[in-house]
Amino acid sequence: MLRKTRWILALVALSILASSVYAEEEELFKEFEIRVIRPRYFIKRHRFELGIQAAAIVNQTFYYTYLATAIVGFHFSEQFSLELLGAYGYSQAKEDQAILQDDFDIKTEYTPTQLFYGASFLWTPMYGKYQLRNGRLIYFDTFLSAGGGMIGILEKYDYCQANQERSSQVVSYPYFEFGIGQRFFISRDDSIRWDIKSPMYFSNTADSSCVAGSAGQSFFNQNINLQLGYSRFL
Amino acid sequence: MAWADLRQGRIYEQTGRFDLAAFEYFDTLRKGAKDGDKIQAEFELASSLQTMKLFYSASYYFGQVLVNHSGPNPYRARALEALTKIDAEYPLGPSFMQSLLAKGLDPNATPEASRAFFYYYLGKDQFAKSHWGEAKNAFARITLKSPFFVKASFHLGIIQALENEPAKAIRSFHNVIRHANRLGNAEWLREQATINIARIHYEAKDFVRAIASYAKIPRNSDNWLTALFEASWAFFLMENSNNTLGNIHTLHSPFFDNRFFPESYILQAVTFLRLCQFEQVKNSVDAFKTRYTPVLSELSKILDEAKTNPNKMVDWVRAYNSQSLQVYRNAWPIFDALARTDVARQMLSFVANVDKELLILEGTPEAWRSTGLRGTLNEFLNGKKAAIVKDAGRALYQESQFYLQYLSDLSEQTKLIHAELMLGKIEQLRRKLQIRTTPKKENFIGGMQPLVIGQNLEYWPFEGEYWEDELGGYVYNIESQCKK
Repeated sequence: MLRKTRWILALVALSILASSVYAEEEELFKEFEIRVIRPRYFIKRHRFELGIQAAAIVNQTFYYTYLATAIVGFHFSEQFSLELLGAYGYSQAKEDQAILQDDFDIKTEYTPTQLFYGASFLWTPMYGKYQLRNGRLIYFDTFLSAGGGMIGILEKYDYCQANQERSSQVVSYPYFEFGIGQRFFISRDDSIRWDIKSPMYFSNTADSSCVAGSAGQSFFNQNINLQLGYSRFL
Repeated sequence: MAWADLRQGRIYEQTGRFDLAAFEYFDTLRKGAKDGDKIQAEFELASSLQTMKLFYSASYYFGQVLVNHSGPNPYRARALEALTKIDAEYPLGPSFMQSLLAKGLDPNATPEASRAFFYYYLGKDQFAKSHWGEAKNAFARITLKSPFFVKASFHLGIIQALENEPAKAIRSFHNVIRHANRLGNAEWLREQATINIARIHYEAKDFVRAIASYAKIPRNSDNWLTALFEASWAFFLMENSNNTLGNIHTLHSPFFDNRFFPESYILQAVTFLRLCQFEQVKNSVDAFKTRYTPVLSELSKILDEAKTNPNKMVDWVRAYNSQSLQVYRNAWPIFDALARTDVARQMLSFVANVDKELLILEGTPEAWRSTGLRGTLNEFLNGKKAAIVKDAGRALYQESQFYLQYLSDLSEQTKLIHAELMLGKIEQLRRKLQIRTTPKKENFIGGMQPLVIGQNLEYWPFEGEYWEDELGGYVYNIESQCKK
């Protein structure tokens, strides 16, 4: 399988308001004596992107978290887009947690991410194509994202003693995130997309304390989300 | 009793045993049936053979129906109709019509509605003799309803173009494009008509339209490289050097190592010359020599070897087509070009179809052999095949002679360019190329497509690696080095 990629230089990429895409691209490739110039296979500019994804948070020690994600994006140009996303899911304890509790009577903290919603700004500095053995071409692009929103953490308090019981609740914190991803264009309207996102947020230890109203400290948290799904361009 | 055999034949037909029916009809003829019974037996035999997919064999007996009988012939129109149908899928060729005429066929004895068959082959015959007026008259009598209309329009278009009637010629070629679907080789005819329209625009120096027509030829077509090459001349005359060189870059890619476009090197050299890129001119001339000097030398040997037996040309082309050719490796671009000619395509298709029929004949009932039906058809098919191969061999030999002359001329041109370069007289030659031929200047992207403002484009740099999807999309990005 062959791969060919091209980078859009950052300097030029900033000229988002450039009126002539042709002149911009012409400038980019002026150093090459021979170029291929043809209508773009997949056009994102001024199109909406609707996507669904399955996400897994992969850096949690004692439980698995899976979320269903929906994305609505708008592409201002081939390089820049803004998207809104929301996710909701469930968690499941890993076997390790049960072993610790049953064999060693150690209760681990169980504060899984239940939902998040927010907005991201995407920059696509690179697109390319793969050629499969049968000659078929698959176009793809690679993007970086940055954004923020609210993340909802489920506090179950099941690690508390019986006499300290608090009713479970979803505690929301603002988060910011950075990510990277790729779209593989399977037709002129459809793509398969993966993202790795890293939402970061500061939680308050008081929210997970078994005693309501106790003083807490700010605590840094970072999730690593692996997301895979499908996008339709309108 | 002839009528008994005919009746038995019909019974077999009704039960779907066309092989046995054919035998009964042949037996009727063998026993010396006369007049009405004979015509009927010939017609029914031909129809049975047609049903058995023995199309050329059927054409033999349909032909007999047409020529063997003077006076009233109730089967004449139906035989012509059947031949017309066969011809649409399996062209019978002018020699078939000539043989019928030689046997005394009288076209005037045919109902007007069935005469298209004659008009078409008559027109083709006159066309081959360059008798444009007579050919045009014959083709013009074929109406829109006739299955021959498309092919007749194609020939008519060529004659009109040759007689400098571009508007009429374009109309005729548009008729081909519009109605080509009626025939088996619709795509091929449509593309040929499109290329001819492009050539008419080119002749009229309307290069933008010419390129627009060339651009309609799909990339997966056999005609695509021809369109690309001819369009590069149009770009050259429009002074769009970067597009000229871009198209040639595709032609010279390793994907097309065996394709025969020697003139592309000359065009490349003169394009660089126009841009005062003298080093590149030299490179193009050298590349021509490297690639085509061995071809030229082997082509001479090929012509020597096939001089007394042009059928060898057919053998080599067939071997090249089936990828079993082991000789004359350097001349494979010639065999490739020959294999793509109409003569070779028709001959190869004809031979394949005849071989298929001969194979079917092998499996026919023993009675076919004992009564002589199989022998008669074998003889007819083999004779026809030998004649077609012989004609094709001669035509391919002549085509090869033309290639030899063409390559020699191009070789002389490269020597001239090289000599001028050496003598430092290149400026004079270059000035001759400053022929402003068109007032219209238009920008094109790759793939012979005009630049549309606001269109989203993608750029791929060429860094020495050819990608199949990029072929045809190259555009150079070099500027003239000439002093102002």
